[in-house]
Order: sequence, then C-alpha cells, then structure tokens
Amino acid sequence: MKVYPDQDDSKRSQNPGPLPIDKVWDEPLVKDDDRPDLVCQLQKMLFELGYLIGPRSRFIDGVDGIFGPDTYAAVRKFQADNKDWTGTALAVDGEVGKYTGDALNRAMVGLWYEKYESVDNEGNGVPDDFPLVTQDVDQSLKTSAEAHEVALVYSGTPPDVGPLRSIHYMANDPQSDGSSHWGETKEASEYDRSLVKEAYLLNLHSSDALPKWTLWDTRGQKSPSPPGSTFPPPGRFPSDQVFSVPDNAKFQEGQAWVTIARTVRTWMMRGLAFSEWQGGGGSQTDTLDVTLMDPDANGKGFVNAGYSRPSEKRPFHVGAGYRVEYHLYTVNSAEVISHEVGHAILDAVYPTLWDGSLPLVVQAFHESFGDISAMLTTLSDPDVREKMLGDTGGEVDKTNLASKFAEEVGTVMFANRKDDDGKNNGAQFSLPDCGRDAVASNPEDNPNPPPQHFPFSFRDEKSLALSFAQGQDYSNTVISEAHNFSRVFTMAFYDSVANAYDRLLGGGGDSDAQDSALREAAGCMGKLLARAILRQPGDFGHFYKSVAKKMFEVDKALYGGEFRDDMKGSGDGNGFVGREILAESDLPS
Amino acid sequence: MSTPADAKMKEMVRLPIPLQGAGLVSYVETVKQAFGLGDVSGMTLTDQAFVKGDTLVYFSFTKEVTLAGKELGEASGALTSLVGNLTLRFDGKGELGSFTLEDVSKEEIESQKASLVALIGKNQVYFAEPGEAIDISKLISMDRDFYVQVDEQGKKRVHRAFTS
Repeated sequence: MKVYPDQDDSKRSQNPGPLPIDKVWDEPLVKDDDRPDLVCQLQKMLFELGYLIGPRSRFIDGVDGIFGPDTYAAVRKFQADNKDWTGTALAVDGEVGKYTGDALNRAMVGLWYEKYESVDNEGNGVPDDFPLVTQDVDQSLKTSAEAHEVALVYSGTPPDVGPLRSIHYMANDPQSDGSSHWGETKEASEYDRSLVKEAYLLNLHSSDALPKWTLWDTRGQKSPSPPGSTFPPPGRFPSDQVFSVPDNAKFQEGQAWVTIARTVRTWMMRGLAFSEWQGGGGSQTDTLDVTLMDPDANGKGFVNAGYSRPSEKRPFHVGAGYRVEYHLYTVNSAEVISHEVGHAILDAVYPTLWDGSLPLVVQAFHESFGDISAMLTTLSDPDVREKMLGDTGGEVDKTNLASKFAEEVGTVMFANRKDDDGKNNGAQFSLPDCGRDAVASNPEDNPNPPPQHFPFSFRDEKSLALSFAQGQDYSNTVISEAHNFSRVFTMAFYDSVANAYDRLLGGGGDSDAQDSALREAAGCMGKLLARAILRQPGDFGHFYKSVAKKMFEVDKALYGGEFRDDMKGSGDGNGFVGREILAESDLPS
Repeated sequence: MSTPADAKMKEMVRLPIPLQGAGLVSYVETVKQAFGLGDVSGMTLTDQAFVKGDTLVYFSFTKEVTLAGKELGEASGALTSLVGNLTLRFDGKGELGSFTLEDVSKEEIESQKASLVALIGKNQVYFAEPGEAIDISKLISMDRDFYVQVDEQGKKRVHRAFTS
C-alpha cells in the first residue's frame, strides 16, 4: 500500500510526504537555513498542524521557504507540544533535526498519509532497528455510510482532489430538481476522519495560539449542554465519535469548529492580532460563545446566521433554518460561518465601527469583510487552490469556487426563498448557484444593466434604489442593502488579488508557479487589508474610500508600492479606481 | 494632506515613543495636547512604518458626537462615536517633520445624522426604555438593526444590534 507520495515527486506541491529524515539527521534545519525546499516542506507541515507561521510572510499560508522568526517560534511551539520516538519531551531549541523531524512526520499521520515508519538516516527502523509505526490516531473511529455522504456531498469534496484532506469550502452539488441531497452511497473515503483529525489538531493547538471560543448547542434544549458542548473534547478523540447526517449536531459542531479555527488563523496569519473578543456594553471577553441555533428557532427565517455582541439573551449564532421547502443548515456552507466569524474578528480589532455603522457604506464594509474572510480562508486551503486553478485554467479572473460565496446556502435561497406573499423572490437575494460572486459578469451579459454604470461600481447611498426594479435582480443591480452593496468592495478586493496574481505569474507558469502566485497575491492583499484595518480608518461616511486609501498607504510603506497598479485596476469595472471607490487623485504619490 | 510641524509640536513630540505602560499613556496625552485634540475620548497608537529613512507613526482617536435635530425625532440627542486619524512623520534624528490630521468633520457628523434619519425612515431603529434588557432575538424578528437607549449615565446612545 502506498502510504505517502514518492520522495522524488517534486511536483507534489500540496503533499510532499514526510520530511526526508536523512537530510536533517546530521544537519538540522535551523533559523536562516539555506535549503528553501526543505523549509517549505517543514512550513507546510506546521501550517497543516495548526501553527502560526506567517504573520511576516507574503504568502496566505506563510509557506515561503524562509526559516524566519515566525517559523522558528512555530517549531519551538511544536517541540513543546511533542515527544520523540522514545516518549521523551523534545528539546525546545527551534531546530529540526532527527527527533523533531521524526515527530513532525508522525504528527502528519492522518493528514498526509495513513501511517509512518520512523527511520534513521539510512532508512533503517528506529529505535534499535525496530520500526516504530505511527497509525492514524483516528483509526479506531467508526464511520458510517452517512458520514461519507456528508463529506462528499455536503461539503462538495470531489473524490479526486487530494490525499486525506477534508475540504469544506468546495462548491456543493445540490440536486437540480430540488430533491433531497441524499443519493447513492459513495465509495468509502477518509474525508470524514480527516475532518475529525483537523478539528482535533486545531483544538489542540488553538489552546494558546488562537483566541478561544466555545460552541453551544441549543438543539432540543434551550440551555447550553454540559461537557461535550465543546468540540472536540479535550484529549484523544473518543472512539465512538462519528459524523453523521448534516443535521446531526456533531457534524455541525465539527464543521463549525474547523471553520472558526481556520478563519481566525487566516487573519492572525495576516497580522490581525487580537486576544479578546468584543463583549456586550463595551466590555471584552476572552471566549467567543458560538451557538448553533435550532433551525426552527428563528421564526420568519429571514436571518440564517448572524453576529451580535454577546448578550444574555442572544450570543453569536450560526446556523438556522430558512423558510424553504426543506431545511438547509447554515453550517453546511462553511463560508457562512467564516463570514460571521469575520464580523466578530472585525469587531474585536475595530470595535468603534460596530455602533458607528449608521451609514450604509460602513454596514456594507462589515459584510464585505465577512465575505473576504471566507475568501481568504478558502484560499488558504491547498486543495481548494488546486481545484480553483484547474477549473479556471489558471485564469482566476473567471468565476470560481473561491470567488463564489456560500454556494450551498445561496443555491437554496435562490430556489426556495419565499416572501410573506408566498412568492419566490430568491433572485433578489442570491445568485442561482451561490450567495454572492466576487467576479462580476460584464455589463453586456446582463439583461438590464443600469445605464452609464458598470453594475458593481461605487455609487453614493443617496443614488441607490431601495429595492429592485422590474427586470433587475441580484445579478446586475446594486441597491441600498448592506449585503448587496458589499459586493462593490469585495469585487474590488478580488480584482486586486487577480491582478496581482497575473503580475506575479508573469504570463505563464506551471501549476506550482500558479499556486505560488495565488498564495502570494492573496497573502499580500490580505495583509494590506488587515494592516489598513489596524490603522482604524475614519471618515465613516466614505468608508470604502477610507479603507482603500489606507491599503494603498500600507502598500507604499510595506511593499514600496508594488501592489499599487494591481489595486488601482486595469480599466472600467476593475480594481478600486476602476470601480470608482477611489479616484486617481486619491492615490498616494 | 501633510502639514509641516511647527516649533512647539517639534518640542513636545519626538522619538522615541514608549510602546507600553504609563510611558505610552503619557506620550499620547502629550500628542493630544500638541495637536489640539484634548476633547477626544480615546487615542491609540495603531501602527508604524519606515519610509525613506523616516519613521511614520499612526494614531487613531475617537470623538463622541451628538446627533440632534427635529428630523431625528425621539433619537435626537443620541451620542455616537466617530474616528479620526493622526499620522506623524519623524526624520532619522527622531524630530517631528510633518503630520497628517484627518479629524472628524462637520460633514461627517451630518452624514451620520442623515444615515440615522434614513434608518429611522426605514423602521430599522428600535427605541428602548431606559434600563430595558435588550433582547436581540426580538430585534431580529422586528428587523430592527439598531437601537437607541439612555444608558446608566443618562446618555442617549445609538447602538447596532446585529448583522447577518
């Protein structure tokens, strides 16, 4: 059985397999090491294991081949958390030699491969010629047919995109006739166990690396459940833990947990450091309470998920029902959770913005930040990037699974959303296959483009209609509703990522080069936005402009203006100038 | 727009800046005095950057403003917080060379007021009784994104309730 990729398969960018022990046996990887390929491999492992390696890196995942202070700190943290093959605590020295390298290889079991045999520099088993085989810690988990169905259908994970990884940001594939998502049982896979493993690892390492959160379950009982409400529970994962159908609480908890962890980590990797969440009444709290809501608890069902500052009666919540033909749990769209967590993160780092969001443009920015949170979190997933680049042929300005937001929820809203009059008005709230798409269609593709305006260019609130005119819908019209209007900023941000990607790629390159360009474009643009937010831009009445100007200023200071033209845009309807958020004269000289 | 620092500013404000503790608090107070920002309710050092041998230091500050007018009805007199920015540019010797002050403008206050009027017009604002425990679920079901309430200090404030 092939347990991990061939060592000499250098094209396997996403999963290079175990760290080659023979290359670190006598010469450990150290700070400022000049072996970038090995450092990249080390960084990929640390990223997968949930360690923060990238606050100073240009790349969205921090994998840049530079053994700098962030990687050094992450290695030390890993060493403090792990033991060598004899069960002795690793020396916390920030160097990756035979013991730490072996511990890393064993830690990746269940993520990149199913088992690992500890070997010495000549390939002999250790210790004492006795191969130490590390099996997937979740081998004892029982999996059910439903669990596979969950992983493959509800998370939309195609069966061929990668080794032993869970993907929870992929486009869903709901049945076109609106029938149940349940279909034939798929061939057994490891995706469900992989989700468990990732949740387990992120929980393990989030204990002091990330701000805390707790999941509460109101299902069936309106009070927080006793132990077990925190997912996954501390320590080794219980052997009877299984994921089942999507309306199963454990599936939702798992999905929510992983998504929250990934989203928080994504922004912390971009430099949005915070240790406390915003509490009610201007207070702060060290733990974010996240409630998975009863799908029927929401009355009219117009709010599917939301963020509010903690209060006695309404904590942060995700997941609720819709007034639809059948229930869809918000948790099914991981991006919706990322979006709500994005609100919480923005409120944590810039609390004045919350009560100050009287102008539509501030409300809309909050929504855009939520969507960008989902987008960047999505793009931090190597398998998603691989699928995205494959689907678009490397042309990321085409609509794709990362530009689309909330495919699952959006699809259901479009098909089923009914207003008080019982009419289907889903087209006013969603696109046919997603909630929002950061790639706009061209005006000529729209049946009723508003005259003299690209559909998704900035316009003053006063000039925006309150609702859709006949013949117009979400696909071609901006109205004065925050989620709707948020698309203008999100699209300009995505334009900037796509423009930077094209420039960094330089007109060609293989899949590795494309992936590198995308990681760098998303990483740098995310950092520019994060740093702009940290500077707390004012002028709430022109907030898109205010934030965008700060991004240009940060670019000038941080990157010498390298991303100026990418953000500016390449013409009408592209970038912050092309979409009329900024004028040419607003740009720093 | 960058403005050259005058002699008094240069005398009062220079590098180095203590980055934590009482030293930072004292430094911020000095900056507020030097730039006539004594009325701000909070000032924070948010970032720093190095450009062409100069050091840029970024501050943000918060101003409480009162939104008043007949058109606001019951919301007239509500307080809200707005944000301004101050950027200081020091030369290689640590001397203040120039600054950029982006203060809260009258236009911005009018804009906030107009936004609140619009929200009230769209029935998105809930007027809570003093001391009333805010039930966010109730506000969600009523589609009231904001609420106005007099706090324990007797100040009327406008708050955001939720977003989706």
